[in-house]
Order: sequence, then C-alpha cells, then structure tokens
Amino acid sequence: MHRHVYSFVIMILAATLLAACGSGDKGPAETALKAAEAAIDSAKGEASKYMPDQVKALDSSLAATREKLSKGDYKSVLSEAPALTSKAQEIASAAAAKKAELTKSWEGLSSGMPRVVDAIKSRVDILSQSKKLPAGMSAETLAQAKAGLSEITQQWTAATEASKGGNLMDAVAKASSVKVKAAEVLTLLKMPVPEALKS
Amino acid sequence: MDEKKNPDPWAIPDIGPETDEKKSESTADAFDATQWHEVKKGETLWKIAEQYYGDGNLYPKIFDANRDVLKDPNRINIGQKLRIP
Repeated sequence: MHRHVYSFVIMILAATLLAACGSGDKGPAETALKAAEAAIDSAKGEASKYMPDQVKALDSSLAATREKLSKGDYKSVLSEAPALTSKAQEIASAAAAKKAELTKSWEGLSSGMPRVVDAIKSRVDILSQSKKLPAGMSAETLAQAKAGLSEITQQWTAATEASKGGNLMDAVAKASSVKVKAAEVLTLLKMPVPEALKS
Repeated sequence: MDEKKNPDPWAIPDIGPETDEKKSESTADAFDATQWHEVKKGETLWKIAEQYYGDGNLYPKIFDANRDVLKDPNRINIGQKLRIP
C-alpha cells in the first residue's frame, strides 16, 4: 500500500514538474509572438502594395503560430516566431527596394511618355488635314493610328491617376503597355521609335 | 541643278554648303520621338511636306516647327536638319 501511495506521489510530482517547465515557456513564447506581430504590422503597409503574395503567406504563418500558442505548444512558438520576425523584416526591405525601383521607372516614364504621345498626336493631326496621304500610307493605316492614339491617351490618363493614388505598380504596368502601343503607332506612321520604347 | 526646268514654285537655288544650325539629332534623350529630315540638294519645304504628309500645302507645319533655324520658308540649306512634326 505504501508503495502505491509512493508511486502515486512521484507521478503527481513529475506531472507538476513537467507542467511547470511547459508554463515557463509561455511568457517567452507570448513575447516572441508579440514581437513577430509587431514586425509584421510594421512591414504590412507598404509591403502589401508591392509584395501582396508574400504578405499573405506571412499572415497565414502568423495565424498558424498563434494557433500553436493557444494550444500551449510554446516550444514551436519559440522556434517559429523569431523566424516570422526575420521574414517580416526581409519583406519590408524587399518592398522598399521594389518601391524605389518602381519610383525610378515611373519618373522616367512620366517625364518621357507625354512627349511621345504629343509627337504622335501632332502627326495624326497633320495627316488628318492632308488632302492626300504620303506614299506607303493608306486611309486604313491612318485610321488604325488614330484608334491607337485614342487608346494610348486613355491608358496614359489611367496610369497617371494610378500614380496619383499611390498605386505605383499599376501606374508602371499601364505606362509599360502605353509604351508598347506607342511603338506600334509610331511604326504605322513611319516615325522613328525612340530607344526607350524598344526595351 | 537646272532651275529653268524645275516647275516647283518654291524651288530654291542651291546656296552652297550647309550651315550647321541643328545638332540635336544626336540627343541622348531616350524618349525623343522627333522625326528629323536632312535637307538634300533641290529640296524645298513643299517637297518635304509632300514626302511626309502627302500634301505640299502643309509645308507651314514644318516651317513653324523650325522657326528657331528658319527665317524664311523659301530658304533652306542643304544638310540642314529640320524637325518634322
């Protein structure tokens, strides 16, 4: 009988000790998770604009780690949370670099493309006044050029609006499609295609 | 060039070698869509307008675009580089 009581007491003591060890990790796990959450919150604002898929993946990982905390899996949280913090910082840096790259692209496009559009518009306007088109150009070609100019003008306006709204990715994407269309129209009009539109 | 056989009312006598008045064709601006035309012997603004626009009557467009280098639409120089708007 004494042996049974003794064994029982040992088991209770062991369980208590184990529980104490586990709950000792809880505080650090919560702290680590809070740090990860703060890093992710800090990175999210800009990173969501430039790296939305990576931010989404990070959010999913954070949710999974929170789940582990709620289930008491503190060791996993202690292992995963710092990695989330690093990842958030990495994404923030990458987003900042992407923003700088897009800003530079937009600056070049916004200073150069209006002149291209103006050159096309000028030629289309003049040809529209011509009684006869130049050799090698048909009425159909001129009509295609006019339609192209209309598309370019609309798309450029949309690109500018996107930039004003802070959506650089959209602005640069739209401006890039304007570049392609402008090159086509310049070729139709037998005008030279600037170097910037060839890349 | 034999001017008497030239029916073009805007024909201009050749007045010698070109005067270098425009160098910006070599601009490094990657977005420059300006079309340039180098004046050749016997050319007039009328003929150039016919070449690019199909209509010589539109020569004033070329003259207006090159007021910085042209004082008179009847006087253009061989080798001169003109903007074609």
